Amino acid sequence: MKKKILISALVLAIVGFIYALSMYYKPHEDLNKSKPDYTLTYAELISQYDKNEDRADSLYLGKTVEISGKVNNIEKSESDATIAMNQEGTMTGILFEFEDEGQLDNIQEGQEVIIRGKCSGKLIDIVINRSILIQ
Amino acid sequence: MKNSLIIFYILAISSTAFSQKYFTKSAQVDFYSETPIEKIEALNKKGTCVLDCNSGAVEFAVLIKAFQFEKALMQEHFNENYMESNTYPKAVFKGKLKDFDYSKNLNGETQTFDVVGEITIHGVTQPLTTKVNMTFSENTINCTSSFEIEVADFDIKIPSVVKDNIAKVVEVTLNAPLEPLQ
Repeated sequence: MKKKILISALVLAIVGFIYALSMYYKPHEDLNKSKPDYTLTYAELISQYDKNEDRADSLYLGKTVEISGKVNNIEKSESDATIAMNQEGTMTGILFEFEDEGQLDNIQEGQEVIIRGKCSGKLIDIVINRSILIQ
Repeated sequence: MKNSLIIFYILAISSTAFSQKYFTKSAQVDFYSETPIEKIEALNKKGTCVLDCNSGAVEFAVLIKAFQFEKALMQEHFNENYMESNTYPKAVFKGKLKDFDYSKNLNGETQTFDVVGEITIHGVTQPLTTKVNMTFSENTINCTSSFEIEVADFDIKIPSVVKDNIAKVVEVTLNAPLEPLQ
């Protein structure tokens, strides 16, 4: 009886350990697989943040958003890969930061795109991190 | 923080006749914590910085959720437990460069200036004085600075289970390539 308890305890400990390790090393969310929490146009997102930043944060901060719009500007440097979308009549734009700069290879300014990423909030622009190109 | 402090700040200082403002939306902020148990590092590439060359006033802001960590779990803990970034989405520094004389032609030079101000993290404001290295070229002022942040000063609570994983003092490094604000 004692042996059985010992073995069960050991198995439990190993399972616990493997679980802890898998959590510690768990990968970042694959946005290709997750459904967006919100789908909207770039104009809609900008307008909501301009109207009421706190309210927009309560909806979008930390959430997965899927934004459609026109590429205004592409920035590719050795450390950064960003697409910007801007709207006339407001200083507020959207900056999409990409982890994989290869995604920007075939994108041109003026192109209509759909980008999915995590909303980090707004400083001057609304910043979307871990962006991936959907279309 | 309700509206973008920076937009307000830019508008406020735009009223001065000949003021030259420099600005970036892609300042890099790196923070590093090392303990015998763990090394933690995160990078934010979307910091904003505005410098008023006439007054020497400088303002810097970062979105907490824009800090990227290698380990997803660490990023989660950082945002949800330590920084509570849903409640405090930004960290802001407002200060002034000492003895900054923009009328002197500094093209091609690198100079170090003291900067004195206040930093607000996790809703707590503390005084911060540090040095910034500025390299002046034709159309850019490249600024770099390093300073230390004592985690406890900002009411950031680290659970006792992981208190040896996170350093009490974190090193912050920033790099801001400023360009003239059109």
